[in-house]
Amino acid sequence: MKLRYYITVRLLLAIPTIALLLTAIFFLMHVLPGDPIRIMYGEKFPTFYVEQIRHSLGLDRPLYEQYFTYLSNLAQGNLGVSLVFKIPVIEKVAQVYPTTLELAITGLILASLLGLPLGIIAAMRRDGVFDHVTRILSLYIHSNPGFWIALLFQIFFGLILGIFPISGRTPPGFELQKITGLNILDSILTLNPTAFIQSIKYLFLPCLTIALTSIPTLSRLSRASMLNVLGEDYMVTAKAKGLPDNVITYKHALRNALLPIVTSIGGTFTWLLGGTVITEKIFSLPGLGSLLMDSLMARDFLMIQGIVAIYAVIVVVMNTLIDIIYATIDPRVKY
Amino acid sequence: MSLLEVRNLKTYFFTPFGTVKAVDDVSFDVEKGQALGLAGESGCGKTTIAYSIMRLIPFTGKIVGGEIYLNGRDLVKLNEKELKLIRWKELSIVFQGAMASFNPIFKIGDQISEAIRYHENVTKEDVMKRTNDLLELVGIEHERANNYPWELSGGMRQRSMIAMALACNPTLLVADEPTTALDVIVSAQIMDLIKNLREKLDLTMLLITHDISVIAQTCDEMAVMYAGKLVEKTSVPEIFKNAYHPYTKALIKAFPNLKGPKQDLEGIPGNPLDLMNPPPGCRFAQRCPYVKETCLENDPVLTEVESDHFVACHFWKKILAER
Amino acid sequence: MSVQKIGFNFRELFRVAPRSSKVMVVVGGIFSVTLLIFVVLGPYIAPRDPYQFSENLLQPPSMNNYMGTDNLGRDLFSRLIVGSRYSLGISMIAVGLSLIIGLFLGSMSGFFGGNIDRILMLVMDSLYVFPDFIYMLVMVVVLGPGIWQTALAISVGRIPYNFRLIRSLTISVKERGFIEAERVLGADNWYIIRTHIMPYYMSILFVTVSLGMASGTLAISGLGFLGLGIPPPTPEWGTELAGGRSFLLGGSWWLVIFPGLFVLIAMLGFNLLSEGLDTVLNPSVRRLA
Repeated sequence: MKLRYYITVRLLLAIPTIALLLTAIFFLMHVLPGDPIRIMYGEKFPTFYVEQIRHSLGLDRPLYEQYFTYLSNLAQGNLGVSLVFKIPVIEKVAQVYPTTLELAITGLILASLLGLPLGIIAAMRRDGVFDHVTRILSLYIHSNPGFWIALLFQIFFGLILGIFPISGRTPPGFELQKITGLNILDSILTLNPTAFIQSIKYLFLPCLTIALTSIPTLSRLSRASMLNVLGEDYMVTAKAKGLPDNVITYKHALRNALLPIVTSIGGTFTWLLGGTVITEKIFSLPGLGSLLMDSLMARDFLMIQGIVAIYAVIVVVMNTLIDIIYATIDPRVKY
Repeated sequence: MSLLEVRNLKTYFFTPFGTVKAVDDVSFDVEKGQALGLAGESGCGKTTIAYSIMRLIPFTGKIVGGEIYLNGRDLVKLNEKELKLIRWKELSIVFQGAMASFNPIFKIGDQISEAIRYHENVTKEDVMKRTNDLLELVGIEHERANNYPWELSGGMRQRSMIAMALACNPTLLVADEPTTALDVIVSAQIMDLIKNLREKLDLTMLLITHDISVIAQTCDEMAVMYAGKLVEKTSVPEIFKNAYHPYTKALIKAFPNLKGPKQDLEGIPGNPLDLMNPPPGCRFAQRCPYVKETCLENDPVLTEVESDHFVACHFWKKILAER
Repeated sequence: MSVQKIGFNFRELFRVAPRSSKVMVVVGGIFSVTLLIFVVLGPYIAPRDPYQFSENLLQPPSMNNYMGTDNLGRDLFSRLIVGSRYSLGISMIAVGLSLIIGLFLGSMSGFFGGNIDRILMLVMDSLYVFPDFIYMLVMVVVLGPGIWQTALAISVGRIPYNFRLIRSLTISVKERGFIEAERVLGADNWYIIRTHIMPYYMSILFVTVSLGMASGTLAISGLGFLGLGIPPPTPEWGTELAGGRSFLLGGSWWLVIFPGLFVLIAMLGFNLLSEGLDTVLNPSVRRLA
């Protein structure tokens, strides 16, 4: 009973959080020195057109009025019309966000599956060979920028070995019935093995790139958390009771170690999301990141604002979900 | 044969700064059904003895010599596999800080019954019944089994720890400072509980504490430790009436009597010993009011000077005569 | 009675540190210092003029051009050395900016508490939640191209982190030594700040700064790679990398590999340095039980 209450409260809280976030972004963008239109279009652009654009965007109104209009539009789901595509912003965004979502989520899952066990095993064999090797490798991988990893993958797997495609999300002639927009999920739901395999082939390199940028952080985190737990008094109790080793490790240690990790997964996801922009560009995936880049280049003001808003929504929803999951696994959380 | 026989136990800790000789050649016996109270100031090695017996010394330390016989079996020689078979079933321990010693994410009832479930082949109903019996034994309502450790008060946690320690009907129960973290009233309740349990279950107990009044209330025998060595051991009534070792006498004096004439509190002058470089002679020599030259050169051996009265002092007789 | 010094004897700390961290500090330090020399002395130590066109287009590495030439015949090695002024230099400015702003806001928030604290925390928390990189992207476009604009855009991303750090430091110091010492010793607050608080801040700041450099460089080269930030012909490493991509299929691998290596070495340097320093300056983190 109480859990349901907590979930509802958290979900409801998400809305003002998003509003707050968007407000912060709004002010950040609008109180900057200089004239954004003039800056974006350059010195040589005719003043007449600058004034027109400024007017059409409502940037000549007083700030509070702009803010009010902005919020009320948002509440109605109106993000304006795209300069470039001539369709409502929200429509275009709805087309592309599943790609980014799929990339970010699979990246997170892969990073967790690879990174967390590494850290935990390193903690259990502290200062051993495994521990040292993992830490060195971790540091090295962490020092490789995402775009560098992506490029190297493209060159090596794509060009030289030729086993993975290096651009696009789907091959030509790809057929899949869309339910969620997440190709892998949809192909499972509609029992479409060809689509499944193709989706994975195209997703593999980008997903691995994204994952590699987070694995070092996650392994470090899980190592620290596990070490912390292993030093706790209740571990001595467990040993004193003569429990089997795997019970001590998995039941007593691991479950406690996982708690702070879950909390940090939210932050990891946020970081990951930032990385999708470059990865989408390199692998030519039609997601929010690519759209953002194009809109930035084309100075499609409303589109830019709309994409930023969607990123904010994704982040807040994800963090809320994680908080809720955490509340279900840690009995100490008070509803 | 006594239930527990400790012979020349030596446990050292190895640090980058040197080796700490926490327990340096300690021997004593505990008879079946008896309770021995191990007393001493912080850092004297009493907790290390408890952990040595339980074979729970952390990896920085090691039992470097001696034997620990439980029912004739040397615990020091057992490997991890063999230890797992006897842990909790033949010997169990009640830890000092009950809050930290319980896993915060599991319920009390589960943690109490855990050892039963893994050591014995019992049905679920039996486990429930036994858990409830244990809780009743220590004075906790059955419903509390569904609470988490952090939902209970300090006293209840300590009782739960005791219940947990008794889960598999151990032959020997070690209690490490069971009342130190508690306030006076709860402390008294726990001491009563321990007394009752001892009578009811005919429990053999080793009680570690720096508070000798606890030993006075609950134990049959008392052994005093100083700087890694055992300095005196005898029955409780005897030691409070006729302590022979200067340190024991000073220790008892440091706990004023509630009754009787007013006295000034007398501390023991001097500083605790550096256990990395203990002096060649008696370890208490530097702080002893009766120190002579022999004391600084020769380390006294624990000897049975009277029936069931052991002392480690060169001049115990002379000191006694002077009084 | 004496107020116990938060013992920071750097020599002693270094002596007892494990060998691996000392190696990390040294190696990281060498990388970082070398690159910093490039930043300061870049144009003077580069063998050729980075902007000078020549007829040797797309030449592979040779004795003449250690890292080859690009499609306009410019020497890549020189370009990359001078490019450090942008990739690293801007990062330094950004780290400095975010540190100053974070220091100011954080100590204010920690010291005064109350409503100021609450408001600032709220703002910082909501900013903290959002992906830095996307901020920076938008900021860079809105602010326009240029060194200071790019630095400002990047620093915005780091501010919440620094703010939180300084705030918690301020609070712990406020609770710990400052007020007590004030009572015991009376005057001489500056002495206390100098001998107790500063060394404490110092050790944490070293690590924060090198971490900040790492993430700053990462951000700038990322922006450069995407074509934002400093426009060509400035040889920022990320921009060079992106530019070199077009010639990859033609076989000019050096235009992609060397810029990438520069970024990698910079990252390694700062990461090793911060990792090593962290272990050396925080001995409680090491094993003993």
